[in-house]
Amino acid sequence: MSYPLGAGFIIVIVQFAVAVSIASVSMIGYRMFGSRTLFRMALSFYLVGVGLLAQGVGSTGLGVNTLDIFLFTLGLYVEASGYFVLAISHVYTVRSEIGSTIEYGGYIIPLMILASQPSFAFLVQGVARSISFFLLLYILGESLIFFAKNRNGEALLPIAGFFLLVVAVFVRLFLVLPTETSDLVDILKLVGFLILSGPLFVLLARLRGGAP
Amino acid sequence: MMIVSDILKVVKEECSKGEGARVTMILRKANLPYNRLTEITERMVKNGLLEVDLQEKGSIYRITPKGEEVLESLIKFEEFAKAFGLRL
Repeated sequence: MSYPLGAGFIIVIVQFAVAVSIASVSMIGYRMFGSRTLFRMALSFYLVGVGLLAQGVGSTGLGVNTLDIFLFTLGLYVEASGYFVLAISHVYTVRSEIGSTIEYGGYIIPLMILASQPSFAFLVQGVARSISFFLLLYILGESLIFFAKNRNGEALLPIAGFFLLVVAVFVRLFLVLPTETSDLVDILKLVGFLILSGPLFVLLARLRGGAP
Repeated sequence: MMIVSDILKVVKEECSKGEGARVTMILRKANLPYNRLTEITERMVKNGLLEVDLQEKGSIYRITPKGEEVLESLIKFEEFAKAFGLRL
């Protein structure tokens, strides 16, 4: 995922926009009703969006190699933590523990130094992708179970979206690809995000139209 | 959130049938213990989502226009969350 500032970066921006849109609408719902589920959805998609943006900036290159690698790696972990929050929403057991993870901020500097070493960075990025992969797999599984129980047609869109994200992360994690094919994986991920935004448009249409 | 939504749905349904929803009806349909229900309905009345008519045989609840508006939006966000396999 090494881009000149062009099509690749636009892909990242679109992914970011989709994730932040879903997050913002969830946040509006949370402010209106105080629903914890909507808060977790908002937090999750904000993290995914910020993570993707950090990866995009890291890939584009700020001109400082160490910082680029660190940003990209950090982006992968922020994205993974977004999926973690979403997965936790499915488990429905999150209370107020989220704040405690901030206490580990002291590890950021050593991580930055280590993550900037190419071989170590590769390993750390692999771990982040593995975490994302298994979390996405879990989210996909839960969504499928929910769909089977409720027969909710709208759930098919996120299921398809999460499926494409799982495939994209799987390919990047387990297959060694030539650069051109690698860009196709990013497009696959982009399509996944666009499909994920389906329920968002349905909600916006309903809010405008007034139909339940 | 599901509790508020369930109560509003029950009260709206009962209102459409006739005079409004009695506490026993809400208890049965929303599947809630009495103490919890009175606590929540009191808050909903205070927020203008429900209006209560105190009668000798017991309270009768009716949904207000604000309550109907909130219920409509709630249903839409419920569907949004459901699409992601989640419940409000």
